[in-house]
Amino acid sequence: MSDHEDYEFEGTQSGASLTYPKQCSALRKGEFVMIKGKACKIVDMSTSKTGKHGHAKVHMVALDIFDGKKLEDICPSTHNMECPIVKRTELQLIDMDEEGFVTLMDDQGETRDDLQAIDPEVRKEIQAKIDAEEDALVCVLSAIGKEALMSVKNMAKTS
Amino acid sequence: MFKLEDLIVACSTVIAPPQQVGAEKRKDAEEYLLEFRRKASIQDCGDILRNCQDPGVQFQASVSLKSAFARESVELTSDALIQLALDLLQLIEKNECTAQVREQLVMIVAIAVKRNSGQNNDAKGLQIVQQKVQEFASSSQPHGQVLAASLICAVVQEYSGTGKSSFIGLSIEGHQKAKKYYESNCLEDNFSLVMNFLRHLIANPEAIQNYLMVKKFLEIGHLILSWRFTHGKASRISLIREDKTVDVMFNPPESWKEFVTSAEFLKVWFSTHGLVRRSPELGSISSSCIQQICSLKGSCLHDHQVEAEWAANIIKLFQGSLPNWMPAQEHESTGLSYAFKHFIENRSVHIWSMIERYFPPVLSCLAQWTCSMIENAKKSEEYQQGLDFSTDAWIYVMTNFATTEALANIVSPNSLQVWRAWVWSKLSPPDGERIDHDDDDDEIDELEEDDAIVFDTQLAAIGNMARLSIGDTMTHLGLLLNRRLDEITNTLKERGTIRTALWEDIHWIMLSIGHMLADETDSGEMKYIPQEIMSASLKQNAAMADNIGNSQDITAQLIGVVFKLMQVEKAAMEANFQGLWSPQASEDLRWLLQRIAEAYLWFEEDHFSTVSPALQSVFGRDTESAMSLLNEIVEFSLLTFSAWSGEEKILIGSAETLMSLLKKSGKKAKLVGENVKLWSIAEVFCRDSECGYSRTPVVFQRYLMKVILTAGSSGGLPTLQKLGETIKPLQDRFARLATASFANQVVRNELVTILERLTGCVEGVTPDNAESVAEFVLPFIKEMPAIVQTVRGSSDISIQIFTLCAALASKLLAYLEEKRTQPFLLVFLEILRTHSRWNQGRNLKDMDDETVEEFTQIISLITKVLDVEVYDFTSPAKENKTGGGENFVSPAEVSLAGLTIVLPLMGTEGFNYPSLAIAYFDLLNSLCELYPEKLAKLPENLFTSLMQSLQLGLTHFGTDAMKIALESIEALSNYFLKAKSVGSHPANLGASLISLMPFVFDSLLKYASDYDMLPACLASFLHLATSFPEKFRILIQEKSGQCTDNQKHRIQDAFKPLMEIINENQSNPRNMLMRRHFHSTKLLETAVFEIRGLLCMK
Repeated sequence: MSDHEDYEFEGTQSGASLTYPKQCSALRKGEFVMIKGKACKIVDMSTSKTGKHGHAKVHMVALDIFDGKKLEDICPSTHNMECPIVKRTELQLIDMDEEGFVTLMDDQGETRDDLQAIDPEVRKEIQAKIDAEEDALVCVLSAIGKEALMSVKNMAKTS
Repeated sequence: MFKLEDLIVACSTVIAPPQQVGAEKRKDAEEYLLEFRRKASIQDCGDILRNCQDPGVQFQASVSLKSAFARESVELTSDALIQLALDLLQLIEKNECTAQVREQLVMIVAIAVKRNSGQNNDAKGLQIVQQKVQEFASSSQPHGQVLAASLICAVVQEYSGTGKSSFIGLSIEGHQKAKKYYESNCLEDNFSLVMNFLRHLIANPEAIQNYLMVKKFLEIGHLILSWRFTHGKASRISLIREDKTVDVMFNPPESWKEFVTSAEFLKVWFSTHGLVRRSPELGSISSSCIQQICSLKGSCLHDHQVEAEWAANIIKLFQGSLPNWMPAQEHESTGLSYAFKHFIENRSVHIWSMIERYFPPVLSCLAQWTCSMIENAKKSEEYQQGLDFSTDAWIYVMTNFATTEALANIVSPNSLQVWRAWVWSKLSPPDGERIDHDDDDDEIDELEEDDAIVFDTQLAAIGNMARLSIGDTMTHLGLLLNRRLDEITNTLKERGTIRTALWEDIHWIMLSIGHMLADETDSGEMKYIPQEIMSASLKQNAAMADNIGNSQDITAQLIGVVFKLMQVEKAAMEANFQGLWSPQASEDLRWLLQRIAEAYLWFEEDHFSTVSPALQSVFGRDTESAMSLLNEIVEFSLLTFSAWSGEEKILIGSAETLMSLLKKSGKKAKLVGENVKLWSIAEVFCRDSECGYSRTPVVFQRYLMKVILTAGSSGGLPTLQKLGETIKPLQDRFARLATASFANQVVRNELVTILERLTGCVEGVTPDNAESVAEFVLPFIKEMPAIVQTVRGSSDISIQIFTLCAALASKLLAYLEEKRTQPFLLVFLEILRTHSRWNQGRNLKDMDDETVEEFTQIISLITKVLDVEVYDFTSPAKENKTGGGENFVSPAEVSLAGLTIVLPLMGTEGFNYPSLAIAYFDLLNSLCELYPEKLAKLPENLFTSLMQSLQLGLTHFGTDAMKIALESIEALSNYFLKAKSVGSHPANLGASLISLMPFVFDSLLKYASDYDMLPACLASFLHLATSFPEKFRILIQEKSGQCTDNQKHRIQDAFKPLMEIINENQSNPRNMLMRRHFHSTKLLETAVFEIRGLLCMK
């Protein structure tokens, strides 16, 4: 398996749509969805109906993937929701400056330093990894034209 | 040590208003009182009670007296205990204390005399108390009556309980002994006092003004009527095993026969209820008393003649009282409904045959009462519960007594009356009196249960009742449904909105029809046409018909109306009118059609001695009529998959209908398996991730895959080939992912969809298709470690992969030969390892739901793999156990390795989630019990982590986890002793078990009075103590470090007998645990009860 080449699933090139529609009933916890123009990750889902003979409605609680804010939406189960096309990349952590801007390196050895760790918890964790001189990976999510640093984890130890 | 003046000051300080007393002063006073409670002796408290009249001080002294009693009672001689009881009785008699203090003191009196009879086998104290009760009761003073009532109440409560007061230091056996003595010698006398009081009340109804007294005596009456009598020898085991959730029936010894079966006894209780029933509190207790009286069984009724007379008397009393007891009061509805239930369920057919003429009246009473419950059921939970209990009585009557035509003829007019009332309550006017409220349009949460589940018992009974009067009920239901069907058709033609009330009517009509047409069975059990329906059809003798539309048979006609409803819904779906239709009604219809398809269409004719030609001609095996109806149901279900894409319950209902036919094997399965439409749906579903069926809820998508797999396995080679072709595109889609970037969400979604489809496939595995499924799934599964590596162990994908693996382990591997399971097991291990490599050092402080789910699935996989070792369904002939071999792994090894991989990942944070913690401990326990030797050989750091998790289980996560951890420790200790006996010394295991010993001891102290926990605590500690006698001795010494010298001696003495027996058996401790297990457990238990008051304060 390789994760370098894209084949047939390219969807985020310029001019391509940033979102795709999906029927509400088929959404599931952990998936991404647009709520009030924000790209969100669904953290809780439940269904309800108005009265015993009403039609199913889906109630979603989701977190904005970029600022962590909680958003909710309720939608008839047969309606379509827009879902963001999310790209998830994991880059090797090299360093972080005082303002939280991190230096990252991709699989090809290209580095970038335009991303900032905004979440104080993640920043603290990154600092800890740097201090401990551990090899770590930083997960970067990009969607609807935005990009953000999400989490950090250790690189796999070769066994 | 404590001065009365100080105590008075402290008491007044704590209750003084804030403006008068500063926080500091108040805190000091509270400290002082706490210290008093901790240290005051029985003597101190007694002195204060005698010398001080201040109510606050008296209360503190009485409460502290109870604590002091817990500490000192073991040291009190029999005489001292009696003297204490006498002193307190004297105090109470003086009438100088408040009611609260009095209640505390009578409780201590009861505890003291019980301790004396339980520990010292001395009943003198109890006799004195009994004399006092008689004295008080016969005194002309109103105060005397109050004291008598208080004292009886405390004594009855104390002696009836076996666990509540264990802190006084009585072993279970001690409790049992005391209870048995009281039961044989005093209980009947105390009951007589209650009866005398009630007789007096009936003769002087104005005495009801003395409300509290009436209440107290009724409560005592109820306590005695609900007494768990000790029949035979009172044993420790019987008490521990006693199921506390089962209702206690009134089952006194034979010596009570004359008393409790007399007409006068019954009359007193019925009359009392008549007097007090309008008072919510009193009426509730007295109805519960009647409930207990009606449950009478056992030795008092061994003589059939006595039982028959007793039963006739009860019926006469009900007959005479019910007209005056209508309408039923809310607070008496549960008690009296229960009374009917107990009364009817505890009488045998033989008794009814002896009092045949009383059978119709009792049914009439039950019908009258049930109708009253139905009428009021909507008003409150109590009435609803009352209805449930009276319904239970009906089910019993119908199952046991309506077995012959003659008996059924007696039952049916009454049951029809109830059936009519029920239908009337459920339908809107003009066919009923249901009133829909505005709040019926409130938001309904998915977690709320369906009517079919909430009212399952009622519906079953109503269905059964309907079958006793088929002529009336079937025609009526057919008419009701037909009329509503006409309204729907007309409204839809005009594109109008259908009234919600109409849907609600249809909902209840369908539920009634469904339960009438077939009984609810456990899943997997066959449904049949009920015998009553077959007989009624035979009796009706309608002509044969070639289709359901022209049949004259009433059952066929009713089913015909259901099919008409199906056709209307089908037309509505085709016209895209789902928005106008009720999803609830659609769900009900699918449920109903499934019943009809299972029980009626191509029904099992061999099941009946005579088959009705009219039913046979429209539903019978191989008839064209039935085949066309079955086909209609299949087509209707398939249409649902695209028409109702947003309604999970409807979709699952339709899929279940298909599955129920597929499971029947033979022709019904073939009919589904060969359906062209099903295969075209399957093809699109497997080929196209964007197809309409992918819009449905994920749960359904998985189910649909299961249906497809089962359909493919239903018809031999042709359908298997079809299945192969259909699911092949999944392989192509998967292959395409090899070159795609998993950074892209669309690619990830595609992978998740494929994994979901595969999981659905695996869920449809049967012994017949296991080999083919394994062959199909293996190439996919072999790629999973690489995928985990590529996605770097990220949760979203890992969850799906672990779910699939867990499904494989639980559904597939047990059907495969050992060597065929090898590649799967190796892949599981590889997946776990790869996942762990990418997740080490992960921050789990704030685990989100996704992470919890991830770990749940991992633990589920490991557990299921272990199950493969235990449940092996391969036939011995086929089995080809290879064993050994270089790369050979057993499920147990995979499971153990899995556990050691997951444990460091979970860390302690992972245990903060109860479901996860329980799943982990269950798994660990299975490993401890099955493979302790493998656990003991783990590398030290892993082994230590496992043992630390056991310690966490003992201290952090509630009783469920604690119980499992204790069982695991027992299993490990057992293994330790076994290893030692053959000369091996697993040192790390020994050291870890020793470190757990104090925690197990603490659990034992803490849960000694919890009979659910006690056996596990005892067994675990006993095993540890036997394994490490020296450590046991040191532990006891350490634990008593804080105590006084006297108390230290007591603690040492308490454990001495156990230590001696352990030392005697040093050479063969396992032998002791096996052969003298009961004896040594008893020694440990007695010791713990003895010293519990010293080491563990409430």
